[in-house]
Amino acid sequence: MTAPLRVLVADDDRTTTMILAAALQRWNCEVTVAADGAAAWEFLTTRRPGMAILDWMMPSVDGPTLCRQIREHEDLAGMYVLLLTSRGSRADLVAGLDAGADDYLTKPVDREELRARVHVGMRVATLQTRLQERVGELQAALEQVTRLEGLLPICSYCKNIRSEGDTWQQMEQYIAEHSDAEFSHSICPTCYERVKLDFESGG
Amino acid sequence: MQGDRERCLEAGMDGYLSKPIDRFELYVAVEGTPGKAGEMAPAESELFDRAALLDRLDGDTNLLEQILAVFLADCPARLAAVDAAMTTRHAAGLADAAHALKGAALNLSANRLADVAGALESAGHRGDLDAAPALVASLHREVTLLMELLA
Repeated sequence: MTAPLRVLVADDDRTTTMILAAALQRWNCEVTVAADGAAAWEFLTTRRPGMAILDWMMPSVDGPTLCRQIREHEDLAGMYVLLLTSRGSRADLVAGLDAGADDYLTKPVDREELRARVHVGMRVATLQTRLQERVGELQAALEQVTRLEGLLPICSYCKNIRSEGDTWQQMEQYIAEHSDAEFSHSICPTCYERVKLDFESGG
Repeated sequence: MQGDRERCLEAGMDGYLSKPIDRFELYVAVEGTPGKAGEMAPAESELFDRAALLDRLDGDTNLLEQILAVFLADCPARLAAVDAAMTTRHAAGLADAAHALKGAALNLSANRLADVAGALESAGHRGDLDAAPALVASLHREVTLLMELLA
């Protein structure tokens, strides 16, 4: 089971938020309700849900304005946003999508349409989360690579490496400090033969 | 436009519709203002379509009762907002207040109330404050009928 998707539902009409929240909870979403635009923005910026369903007409900050704020915010730009509207006009829909909404729902919300559109959103939000995780992993790996990259001054005889501050470190110590690699100590066949000879000659 | 309505009615027309056609205005023009005094009591399903709402809630009767309770609790404040906008003759405020009531009524499948609220919202958007008082009166009657039915 994947972790439940966090969804914000923002609408000043309580009958709408109750209907939406009940449906979303049935689909294993973790739902938070906001009754106006300012409360919605507060939740969006602090909890960063994967999806937001925003009413077009809300007190304090309306849906399209919230959409624009989300898209301009570095950490929220990838959020899936559904605009909720009871205005059926084409111009409004275009304005909503231009403001940065991914999709829209018309009130009163039809159950099957809600299910279909929310599941599209869940799929996109999940992909977005995975993508961000992968980017994070790759960035971390890249950092490791750059730390071990470059010209390493090594002693031709003892194989120690010159580290920061002009100190010399054993190679294994240096690598352990500058990468995720760990060492398990063993002996190679060539060295084994030499050590055995030393023993036998009473060394 | 305001003057057009009077000129049409004076010329003997029975009604008046402005283009583009708004479905709520059309409804009122053809059916008459819903909830007129003296009209026969409407069928229950016209006031509130319980089956449609229950279907939308996936058969959850518990949730249905909660939503009705919330609707009834919020209704007086929404009506008061309509009345306040009417008193101050604030057309945009009237449209917003009627819009809020329409949205909740549509959610409930309270279709007659939604129609009247929708007609009032359109009147507000047009700035037609002369058509509004009759619609506001209808709105009050529809809300009363609905509250009696649901109480």
